[in-house]
Amino acid sequence: MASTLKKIILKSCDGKILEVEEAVAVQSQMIKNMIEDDCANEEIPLPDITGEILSMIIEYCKMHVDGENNSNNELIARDADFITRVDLNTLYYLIVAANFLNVKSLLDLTCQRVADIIKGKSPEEIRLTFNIKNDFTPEEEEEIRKKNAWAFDYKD
Amino acid sequence: MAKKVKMKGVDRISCLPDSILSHILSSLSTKAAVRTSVLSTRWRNLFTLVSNLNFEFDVQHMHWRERHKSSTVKSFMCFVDRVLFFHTVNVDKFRLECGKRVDSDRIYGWISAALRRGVKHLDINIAFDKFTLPGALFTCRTLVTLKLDSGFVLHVPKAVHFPYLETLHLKSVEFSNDDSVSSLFSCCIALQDVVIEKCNTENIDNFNISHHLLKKLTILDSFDNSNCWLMIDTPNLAYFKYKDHVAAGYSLENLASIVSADIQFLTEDEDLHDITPFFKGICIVRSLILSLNSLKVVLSSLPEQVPSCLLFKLKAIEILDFKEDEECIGKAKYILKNGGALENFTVHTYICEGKRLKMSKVLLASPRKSNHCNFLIL
Repeated sequence: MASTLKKIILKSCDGKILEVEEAVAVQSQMIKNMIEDDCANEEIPLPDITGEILSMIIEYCKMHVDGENNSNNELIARDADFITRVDLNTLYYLIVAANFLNVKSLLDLTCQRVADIIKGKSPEEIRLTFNIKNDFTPEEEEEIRKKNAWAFDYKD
Repeated sequence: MAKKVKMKGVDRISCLPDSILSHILSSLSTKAAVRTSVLSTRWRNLFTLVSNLNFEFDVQHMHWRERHKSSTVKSFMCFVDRVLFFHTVNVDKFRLECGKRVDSDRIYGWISAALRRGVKHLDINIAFDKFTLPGALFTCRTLVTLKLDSGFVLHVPKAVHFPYLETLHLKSVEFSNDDSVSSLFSCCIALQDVVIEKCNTENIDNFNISHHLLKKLTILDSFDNSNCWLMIDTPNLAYFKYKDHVAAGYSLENLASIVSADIQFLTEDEDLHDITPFFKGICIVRSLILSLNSLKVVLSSLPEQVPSCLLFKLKAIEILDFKEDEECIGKAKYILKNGGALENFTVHTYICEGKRLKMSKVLLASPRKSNHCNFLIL
C-alpha cells in the first residue's frame, strides 16, 4: 500500500514542479528504471519538456492507469479523443517527450496520428501541412518519381 | 507573441530522429512511405528503415485496360525489387498480394528476402495454381503469424520448428500428404489460433490436428471430398467453428476446455451420415450455434433420455435459417423443455412477419425447464 502512494517529483524545463503517483509515473520506462535504480528520491529534472507538455503526458498516463480495467474499445476511444484535440506543434513536442520518457503506448499513438495526417495526401500537401521545404532540384525530384513510378502513378 | 507566430512556419517533423520517422512511416502503406522520399533530402532514404512492408498489386482500383498492360505489372515488380534492395532493417510485418501475372521467381525471391530479415508476421496472398514455398520458410524461427492464401502446395518437411508461431491461417492451400499436416501442427509449439479455409484435402486420409495449447480453431469449406477423416485432439481449445461438408469420419478427443462452438454442415440433408462422434466430442460446450442442418442431425430423433449436456451444460443456443415447419418447431420445443441451464435461445429466420408471429406465439407458450431463459427471434 505504501509503495502505491509514493509520489515522484518531476521538474519541467520551465521550472514547473509536478507530483505524480508512482503507479502513474512508471508508465514511463525511463522513470521506472530510475526508481528501480533508486535514483528517483529527489526531484527529476526533465530538460526539453515544458510544464504544459508534461501535464498532458501525466494526464495520458493517468488515463491509462485509471482505465486499466476498462475494455480495449473504451481505451481506444479515449486515446482517440486525447490525440485529436492536439495541434501539430503540440503533437511534435509530445512525440519528443514520449520518446525521451519512453512511454511506448503514447509514442505509438502520436506516431500513428502523424501517419494518419500524412495518409491520403500528395507530397505537395504533406510539405504544406508540415512546412517541409523541398530542397530537391526539379530534375532530382523527377528522377525519384520516375524510379518509383508504381508509388506515384498508381495511387492507393 | 511574435516569436510564437514565427515558430508556426517551422518544419519540426523533419527534425525528429530517424527512429521516430521510420516508426511513423511503418504505419503507412509501403507505397505511401516511398512517396515521402520526394518531400526533401531529409526524407530521401527513410523508407529503407520501415519495419512493415506491404505490397499490393491492387488491381480493383485500376481501369481494366491499365491493369492488363504489361508495363503495369513491370512497374509493380520493379517497385518491390527496389524497395527490398534498399531496405536495411529487420522486417516486422510483410504482406504481399498479387495475381499470377507477376513472375513467380520474383515472388519466391521476395518471400525469401522477408524471411532473411527475421519477419514476424508473414501474410502472402497470390493467385497461383501451384506455388512451392521457399524451404527457408520452414527454418524461419521468428514467425509469430503466418497467413497463406491461394495456390500454395504445403509440403512440410519433418525437421520443422516454429517456436513462436501463434496464428496460422491457411486458405486455398493444398496439403501434400498426411505427414505434412501432422508435422505442421507438432512443430508449432506455441500455436493458439488456426484457420483452415477452402483447403484442398484430396491427398489426405487423416487430417490430424493434435495440439495441447490451441485455443481457437476454424474450419471452413475444406472437406468436400468425403475420403478424409478429421481428427482433433486439443485439450485447450475454447472456440471451435466448423462450417463445412461432412468428412469421411470424425474423432474429436480431449475437448475439455471448449466454451463455444459454431457448427454449420454445408451438406444437403440426405447426405448427412452419422456424425454422432462429432457432437459427442463437443458435448460440454456452453454456447452453441447450429445451422438448421446441424440441428436436424444433432436431434435427428428426440431421445427420451435427454442428453446430460442439454440438461445441465448448455447456456446459449442459436439456430440459423430456422423454418416454421413442424419438425423444426418440435426440436425447438424439445430444447426449451429440457435445457436446464439455458439462458439465451435465439433463432434466426427469414420467414414472413405473419408466420413469424404465429411461430413465436407457439414457442413462447411452450414449457421451459429453465426459468431464466430469454427467447429471441431475429
